[in-house]
Amino acid sequence: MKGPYSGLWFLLTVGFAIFFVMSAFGGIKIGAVELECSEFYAELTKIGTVEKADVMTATEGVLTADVETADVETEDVEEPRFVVDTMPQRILFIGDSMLEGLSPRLAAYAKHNGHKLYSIIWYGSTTKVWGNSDKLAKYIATYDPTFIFVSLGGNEMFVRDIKTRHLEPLKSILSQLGDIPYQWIAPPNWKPDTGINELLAENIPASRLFVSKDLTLARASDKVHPTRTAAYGWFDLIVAWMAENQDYRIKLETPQVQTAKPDKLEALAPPK
Amino acid sequence: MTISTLWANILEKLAYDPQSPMIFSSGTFWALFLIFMPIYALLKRSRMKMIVYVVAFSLYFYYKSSGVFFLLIVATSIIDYLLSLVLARREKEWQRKLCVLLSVAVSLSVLGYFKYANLLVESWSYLVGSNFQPLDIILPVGISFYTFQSISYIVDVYRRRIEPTDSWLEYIFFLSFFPALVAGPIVRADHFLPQIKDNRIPERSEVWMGFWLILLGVVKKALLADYIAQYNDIIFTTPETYTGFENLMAMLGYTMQIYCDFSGYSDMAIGIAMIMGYRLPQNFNLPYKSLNVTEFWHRWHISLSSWLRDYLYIPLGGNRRGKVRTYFNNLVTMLIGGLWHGASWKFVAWGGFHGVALIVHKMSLPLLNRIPNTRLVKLVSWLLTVSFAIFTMTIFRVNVLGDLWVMLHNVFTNFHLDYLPVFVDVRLTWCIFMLILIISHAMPDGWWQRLGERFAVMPWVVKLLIFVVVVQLVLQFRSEDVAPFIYFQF
Repeated sequence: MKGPYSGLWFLLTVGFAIFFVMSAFGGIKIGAVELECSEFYAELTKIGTVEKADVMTATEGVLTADVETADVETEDVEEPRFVVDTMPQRILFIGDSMLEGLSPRLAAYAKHNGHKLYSIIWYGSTTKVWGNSDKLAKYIATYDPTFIFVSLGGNEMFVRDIKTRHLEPLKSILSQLGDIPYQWIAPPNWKPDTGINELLAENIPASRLFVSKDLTLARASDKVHPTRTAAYGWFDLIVAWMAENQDYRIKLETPQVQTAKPDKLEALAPPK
Repeated sequence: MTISTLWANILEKLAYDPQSPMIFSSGTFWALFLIFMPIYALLKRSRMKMIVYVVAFSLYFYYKSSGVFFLLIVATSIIDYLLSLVLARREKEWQRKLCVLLSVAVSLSVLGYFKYANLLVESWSYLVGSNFQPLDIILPVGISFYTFQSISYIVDVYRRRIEPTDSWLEYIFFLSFFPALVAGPIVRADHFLPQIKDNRIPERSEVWMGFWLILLGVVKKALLADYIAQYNDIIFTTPETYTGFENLMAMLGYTMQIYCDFSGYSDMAIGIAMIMGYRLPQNFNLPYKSLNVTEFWHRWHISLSSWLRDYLYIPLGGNRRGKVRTYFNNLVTMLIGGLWHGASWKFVAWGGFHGVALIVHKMSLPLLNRIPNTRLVKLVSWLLTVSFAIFTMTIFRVNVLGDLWVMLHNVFTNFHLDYLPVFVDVRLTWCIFMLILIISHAMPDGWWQRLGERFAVMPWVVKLLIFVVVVQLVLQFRSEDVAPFIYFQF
C-alpha cells in the first residue's frame, strides 16, 4: 500500500498482531506486574453451544469438594415447585465480603447468558444486619430482580446461640425475598461453626441452599476469604449444583471469560 | 479449534449484537478498520467508488450499532434528498417553505417517536393519574445527531447557502459518515459537502495527526473516563449512605468523566475523519477553563451549541428583538438543547439552569465590564463557573432529581474533610487520574496541538511503542477495580 496510509496501516497491523499473540498466551508477567490481555483470541476460538456440551468445566481439579444438598434436617421446610426459566434475568446478588470473589464470576455468567447483574456488597454484614434493615426490600424495589443470590453467614460463624438469636432476622430476610426465586450460598467454613449452617438448613429449602462448609478452598492471606481463583471455582461448583438441585433454574451456561463486571456494583460500609 | 469454529466466531462478531454496539474503542472496530483502510486508500482516487465504499461501510457500521434501524437513515436520506431537489427548483417562497417544513417535520417526527414518545406518555399518565406502561421502543443510536445534520442540510439549501448534492449517494455519505454518525460532532452541510467534492488525499502528517487524536481520545474515554466512572457509579447509586466529602468527589469525578467520555469520543471521530482526509469541527476546547457560562458554551459541545445558535436561537430572533425577547430566546434554546440530550425532565432542568445562567450573565455584563480584570477576579470567575458546571453535571447524572438534593445536603451538612487523607490513600489512582485531568486543563492554549505535531514527526517505532503502551494501559485499568469502599481499608 502506497501513499500516506502505509505507515499507519503497518503500525496498526503490528500492534494488532502483538495484542493477538498476547491474548493467545495470556498471563504474561513483567516483574511483579501481570499484563492484562485482550479477549481477541478467546473470542475467536471459543467453542460454540453444541460443542460445549462435551467440554469439562474448568473447575475440575481446582477444588476438592463433596457437594451435596444440605446435610442437616430440613423436613420442616417446604420445598418449592421445580421451574426452568430460560429468559434473561435481572439478578440481584447481596451479601458480605465473600461477594468480592463470587460476584465477578457470576457477572461473567450473567454477561454470557444475557442477564443483568446488580451486586451489593455489605462489608461485615450478617443475617442479623440484613434482617434488621430494610435495605434488601429497598434494593428489590430499585432493581426489580427476577432472581436473587444471597451469600451470608461468613461473619456469624462463631456467634453463640445463633439459632435463637439470628432466627428472626433470617426469617425477615426470607420474608423480604418473598416470592422471588433465590439461591443462598452458605459460608465456606475455615473452622467449625457454632450453628449458622444448621440455622440456614432449617429455614431454607434444600433446593435453594448451597452448603459450602465442606469445600476445600485455597484461602487468601487472611486465611478466611477464598483466593480469587478459588472463589471462581467455588461459584462454578454452585452453578453445577444448581443445575441438579435448584428448584428454579435459570440459564447459566459456562462463560468463556473468567470474570466480568456487574451492571451495577454497590459497596456498603460495615455496620456500626 | 476448527476452521468452522473460527469462521462461526468471526461471523458472530460481525453480526448485530444489541449488547455490544460498535464503538471506536472496541477491538472489533479496529480489526475492521485495518481491512477498511487499504481498500479506502485504493479507491480514494476515484471519487464515486470511494463514496460508494464509505457509504457501504457507514451503513454496515450503523447496522452493527442499531440493527435494522440503518434502514431509517436510508429512508431519511431519500426523503431529504428528494425534498431538497424540489426545494431548489421552486421560486415561490411558500413552496420552498413547505419543502423545508415537510423535511423538518419528518425528521423531528421520527426523532420524537423514538426518543420522546415514552416521556410524553409518562408525563400524560402522571397528569391524568393513570398507570404508565412504557412503550416498547428501541432508540436507534445517533438519531439525535443525524437528525440535526439532516435539518441543517435542508435549511441551508432553503437559505441558498448550499446547492443540493449532485447525487443521493453524496447526501447519504454526508448523513451517514461513520466517524461522526453515532456521537457527533454534528457535521454541518456547508462545512462538509465541499470536502466530498474536493476528495482531498490527506498529507502523511495529517494521517499521523489524526492518529494522535485517536490515541488522545482512547486515553480520555477508555482509560480515564471508564476508570473514574467506577467510583462515581458507586456513590451516585446511593448517595445518602456516603459523607459529603465522598459525594463532592463523585460530583467532581462525574464532571471530569462526562468531559473525558464525550470529548474523547469526539477526538476519536475527528481523528478517524482526518485520517480519511476530512475535517470535522472541533467539539470541545478545554471547557473547564471557562471564566463564565457564555465562554463555557463556546468551549463545550461546540458543534451542538453553534447548531442551536444558527438553527434555533437566530431564527427565533436572536438578540435582534430587544432584551426581553433575547432572554426568552436564550431560555427556549437551552431548554430544547437540554431535551435534545435525553428524554427526561432532568435534562430539561439542566438546560433550564444553563439558560437562566446565560441570561444572568448577559444581564450582568454592564456591571461585570466595570470590574478590573485582575487575577483574583479571574480566579473567582473561574471558581463560580466550575462550581456551576459541577452542579449542572450532577443534574445530568443523578438517577432521580431527589438525589441532587441528597448530595447537596450531604455536602453542606455532613462534609467530613478528615476523610481526605484516607481517601487519597485508598483511591490513589483515581486521585492521580483526576490530577492529570486538572493539569491538562491548566496547559496553555495550543499546547496539545503542538504535542500532536511533535508526535507526527516521531520515528515510526516510537509511535508504535506509544500505541502499544496506550492500549495496554486501557487493558490494565479496565480490569482493575476501584477500591469499592473507603472503610474497607480501615
